[in-house]
Amino acid sequence: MRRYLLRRVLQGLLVMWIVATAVFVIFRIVPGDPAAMTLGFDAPPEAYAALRAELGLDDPLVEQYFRWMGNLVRGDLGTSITHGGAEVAGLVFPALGRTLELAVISIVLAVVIAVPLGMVSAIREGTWMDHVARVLATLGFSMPTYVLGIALLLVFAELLPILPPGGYVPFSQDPFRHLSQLVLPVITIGTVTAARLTRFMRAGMLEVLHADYVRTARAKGLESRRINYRHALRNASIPLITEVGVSFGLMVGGMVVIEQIFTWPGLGWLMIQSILTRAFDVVQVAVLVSAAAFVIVNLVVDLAYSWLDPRIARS
Amino acid sequence: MTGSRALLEVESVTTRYTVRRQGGDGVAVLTAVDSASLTIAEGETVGLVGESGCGKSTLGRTIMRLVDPAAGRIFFRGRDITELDHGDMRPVRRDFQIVFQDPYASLNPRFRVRAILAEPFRIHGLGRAEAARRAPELLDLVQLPLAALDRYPHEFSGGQRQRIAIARALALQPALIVLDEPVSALDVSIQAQILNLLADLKDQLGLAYLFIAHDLSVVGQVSDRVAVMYLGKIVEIGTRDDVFTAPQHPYTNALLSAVPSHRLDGGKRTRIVLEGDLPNPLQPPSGCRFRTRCWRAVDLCADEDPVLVQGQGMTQRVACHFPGPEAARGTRRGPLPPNAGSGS
Amino acid sequence: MTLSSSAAATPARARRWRALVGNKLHLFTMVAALGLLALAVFADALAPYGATDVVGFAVDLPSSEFWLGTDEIGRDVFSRVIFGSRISLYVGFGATAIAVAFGVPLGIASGYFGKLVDTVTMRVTDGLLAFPPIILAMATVAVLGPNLRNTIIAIGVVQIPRFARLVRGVTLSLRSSEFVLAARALGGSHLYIMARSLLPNLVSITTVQFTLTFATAVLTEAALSFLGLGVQPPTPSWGRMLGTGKTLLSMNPWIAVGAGSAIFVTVLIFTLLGDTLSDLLNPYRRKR
Repeated sequence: MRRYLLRRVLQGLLVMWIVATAVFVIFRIVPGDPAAMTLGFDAPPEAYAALRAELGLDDPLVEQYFRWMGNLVRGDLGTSITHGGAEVAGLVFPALGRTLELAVISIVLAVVIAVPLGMVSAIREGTWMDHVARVLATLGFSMPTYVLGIALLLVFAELLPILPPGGYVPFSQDPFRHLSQLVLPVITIGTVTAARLTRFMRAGMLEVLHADYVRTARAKGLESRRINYRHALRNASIPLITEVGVSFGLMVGGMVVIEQIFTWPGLGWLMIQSILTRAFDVVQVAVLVSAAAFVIVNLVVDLAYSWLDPRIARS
Repeated sequence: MTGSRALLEVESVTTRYTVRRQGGDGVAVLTAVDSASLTIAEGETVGLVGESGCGKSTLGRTIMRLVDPAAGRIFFRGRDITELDHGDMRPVRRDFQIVFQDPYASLNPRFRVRAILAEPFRIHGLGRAEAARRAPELLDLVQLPLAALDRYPHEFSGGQRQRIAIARALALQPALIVLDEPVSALDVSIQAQILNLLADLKDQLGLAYLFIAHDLSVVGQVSDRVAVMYLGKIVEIGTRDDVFTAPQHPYTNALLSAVPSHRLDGGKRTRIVLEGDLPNPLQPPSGCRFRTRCWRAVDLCADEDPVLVQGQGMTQRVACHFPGPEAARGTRRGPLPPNAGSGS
Repeated sequence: MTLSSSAAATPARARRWRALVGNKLHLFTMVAALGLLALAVFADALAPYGATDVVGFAVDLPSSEFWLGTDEIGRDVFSRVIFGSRISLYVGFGATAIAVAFGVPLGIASGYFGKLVDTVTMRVTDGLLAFPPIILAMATVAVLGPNLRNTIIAIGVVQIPRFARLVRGVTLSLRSSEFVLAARALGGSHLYIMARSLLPNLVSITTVQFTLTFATAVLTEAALSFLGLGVQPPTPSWGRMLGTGKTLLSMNPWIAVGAGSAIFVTVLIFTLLGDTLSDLLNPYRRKR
């Protein structure tokens, strides 16, 4: 078990290295470099050349690469020339925190919706309740978060203005306003994610309910409620956890648009603002951090998974 | 040997696989075939028998150069083909072919029979016209109707599919066909049909076969000579009649005693039930590999690996310290010697 | 010897047709997908006005003249929604084609050759899959410059690892199957085996993944354009329209409603199409 843990952590580090390299490739090697990005695509050549020299882009690529990796290993994420020399870390990490706040609450909401819905759908397979649940899940599955977000905005902030249309006030400053600003984004992400999870929950439950040992348990006269809860729920929960992890990863991406819609100053919002203001030094770190968050979440999910089902670690 | 020159010579071929070790990291090396030697003459059928997992299919695939041997030499028509690369092997492959066990898996499910039979011609650059000309002929050889050409494999029964696989193997007029358990996936009634077909084709086309099977009675029906494999080693090899009437290795004795229809000794032989399971091939027993299940085993067997030799008064070669037919050996030896069974 | 024992006397095509017509949802999905395609192809004939023509006052509510009202400079929203299907399908096809063209060969080679080729490919895809797709696409567009071509490239490249993974997995399971060994025994070259033995068996799974990736590509294009990083004005893109519609929500909500519904319906159609195709293409997947 400890060996497995060590191996997964090492794999995670390897992936992080590849991720950091990929970011380097995108921002330094792909045509259209940071200097062009900072100045715009129609900047005068002299200004472009001067900025290239200042950023060290004329140094050999290998040197640039080692400088980039060296700084990352030391935890130095650099300063932003477009943000007046501010520490990039000081911009990115608070934003990441606000994104995670949204993501965690949304995941909780999604699980709270999906688990009972998926269970009812599976246990009452073929009934009208199942059909309703499945139609809802399919519709939600195809619903882009930003379409739903704007629809909710239209209904609850525009037509019957009972909730703020977005924005961000720190919890410490005005708890009530903070929570009311959370409602719409959380409902948006939570319900769309719940649709994914419901499909998995239903499939996982059905698989177990149709499995031989459950039939045996039933034949032995075990009360069916106990079968449903003890056997089916526990076994369906293992794939569900993986799916929660995957959803969490997807969220980090989907959040970009949601944060933009509800002007929630998270990591995605910061990234867009930085792209629009051509602050490439912030963009590359934001991209890196969002990938790192994804890798870490996956790692945690894998470890939780192997803890729940020890066979995984051995295979 | 029957006098004709050897078509295939296999000299001390060893094949190893690396396998992921269970319950942990790292890999282990599995010796699937351990210095096996055999020859096949032009037009001869050699049967290769053994339990599943004994390495007989791996030996067949090594001979076909589908798996690379770790040691040893393979000669085809006197030419060393052991180290030919993928491209150099191509012309050689026209002369020997393989038919696999599972006719459900050995035909490309996305091809019609026409395309399956054209594959050998395409690969060897013999042209569409040749493929089209020969396809009906090949179907005729395996006794399938022409209508089969435009159908997909899943539309056929197991026996019919095996006929298609045989037709494909025959396409380039090979001299040798490796038959890797060709009938064991089929119903018993179909087995006889396919065995008859194979016998007819052999007579008609002068083919040589390496017939791999776990069923000794099937091997007995078709083979000129028989080789018996146990845990990667050939333990006995000789003419069919010698091996069947006077089996020397205890393992051969045990296998033969389990064949109900085979009463060469008039039914006097009692069935020998082997004790225990096949040892873990990753950690084969020291000395003779069969000793952990052998009633003749003594200390010597754990220390010394018997070599495959022709003993006095025998016509076949056998790898055993105490060879001989079971009926002729009188009393059995006692219980296993104390150190038998302790792994290496 | 006759073929009467074969279970399937009816040709596969006929059976597929029956499966399609027999299942109402499948039939509906196919009709809807064709309808969407027709909408894009015949947009000129179907839309009441041109995509970029200023035909009315700015930001008008729906009327009998302009069914969804007008946008910020007085173009007909309904017509732009119809024309928007072109961009969505164009980006969908383009990006998915890039993903297939690179991902499938990469996956086959990785699964077939194994060893170093496989290790390197898989580690690199691990790295690329660690990026949330839209963020990788955003970064790529930000660097390349936002326009239609770069949007297609960015979305397509992001999807390459997914195809490579999927195809590699199936290739691994097919690689040691006996029909591949048979082709090797016949002397088939590596290229022959990959192209003739393996590829035909990857078509159905790739087709299903194609439709799902298509849906993702449509979604991603809309998201990028919504953020102002995708297709640039005045090209009618649903994502862009949704972005404008959000700021004009209080004046003409129908801009956002029209564009949002179009995105939703398109993604729904392609998601259902994926289900339909996986049912139709593999009716005898596990016959034994």
